[in-house]
Amino acid sequence: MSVIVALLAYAFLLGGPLARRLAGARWVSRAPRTALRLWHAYALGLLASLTAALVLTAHDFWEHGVVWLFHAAKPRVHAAYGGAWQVRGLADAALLLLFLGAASLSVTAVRRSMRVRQERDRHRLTADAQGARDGAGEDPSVRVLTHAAPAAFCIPGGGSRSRIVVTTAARELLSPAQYAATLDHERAHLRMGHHRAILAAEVLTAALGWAGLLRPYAGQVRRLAEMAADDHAARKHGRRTVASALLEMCSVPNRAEPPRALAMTGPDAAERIRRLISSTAAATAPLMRVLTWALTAATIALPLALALGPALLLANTAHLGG
Amino acid sequence: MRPFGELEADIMRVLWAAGGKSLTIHEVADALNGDGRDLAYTTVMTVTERLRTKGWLERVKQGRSFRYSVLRSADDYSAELMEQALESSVDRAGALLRFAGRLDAAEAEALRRALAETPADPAPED
Repeated sequence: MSVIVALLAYAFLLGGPLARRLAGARWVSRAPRTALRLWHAYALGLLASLTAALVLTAHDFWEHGVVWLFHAAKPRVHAAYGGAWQVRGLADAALLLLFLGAASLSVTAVRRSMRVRQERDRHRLTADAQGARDGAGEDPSVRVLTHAAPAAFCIPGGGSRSRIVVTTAARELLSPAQYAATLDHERAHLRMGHHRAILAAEVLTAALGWAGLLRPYAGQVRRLAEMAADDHAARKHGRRTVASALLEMCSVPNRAEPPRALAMTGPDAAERIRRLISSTAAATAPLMRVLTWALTAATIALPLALALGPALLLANTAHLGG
Repeated sequence: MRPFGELEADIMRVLWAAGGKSLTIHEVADALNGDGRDLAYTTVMTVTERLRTKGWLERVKQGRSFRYSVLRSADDYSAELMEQALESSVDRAGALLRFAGRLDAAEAEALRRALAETPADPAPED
């Protein structure tokens, strides 16, 4: 019983105050990849504790599992996990909720990935049929599209199916160094699989957002993925080059923009430029790296330890009988 | 041989270049083989049919053969793509990853000044 409370408390702590804190933390812009990892750990830890809490609530199911798995004495297991207030109906409801949750999560995931895939297929064919290969570069995935507005983006896809698209206006606007940095930013997205991270975060945010859990997740993954890709491009081309490329691309006055879109993307681009020119890329200290990895692992391990702890203490008690 | 994806793009290019006119598989294959390639009729037919089932083409029967034509113009597709790329339409599905967003003029100016004061990058390290 107290285990269930602890698991639920942990889930709401992770998804609420801790998530808000991580979203507002200042160190994340210095170590975006570490922060990304931590966000995914939060998500996994949250899912694990919710799942464990529901499984424990459905405790008939759980007790049978522990008796069987740890060869434990049934009455002792019952004493460790059970409580007089627990009625069969609650157990069944929890189990039902668990299956419903798992089902709705998988349905959302499948539907979203299918929609994204269809859209990407359409975009890829459009870019292939209308774009020209980049004559100067050796990258066969780059397509140059004739268009008056500067833009650079990537269409993710497995292996040779991904495309990096730039418009003719962007190529004219950027210097060769800036152009190369822009392409490397997009390559970094593809190499680090950011499209998958974003998709997973969006599915989970959509599934849990109604409960107020992990609300900043998807937005933060997008933000940190951009920073991580900037850093990758900056390692090769210099931070100033990446910053200036970004500035050129962002500050072209063009078409009437819906103000909402501007409000959504404006601050991010400014933040990215600022961090590129204000900080030097400092390598993370080894101690810091160990600590953040430990934190990441602990975030996921804690709910599992909470759920399995009592069972492990009872391991090999089956022969003692009731 | 080049992958099918490329051939799909080539076939769309041929049919878009034909304007609103419809073409037979033979005409499409001839146009494609004009630049020194040697594509089999059946290959062109398979890939063209696949484009039709995907909703890019329509066909009408004329005599004993089918004639294919585009359903939407090239501009329709690129407009849709560029709208998402430039965020004038919301990319709800998150199909693209864009390099840059937009800044308002005042902010861009402030950043431009900050950038001008930043020392040049050190020489590349490789």
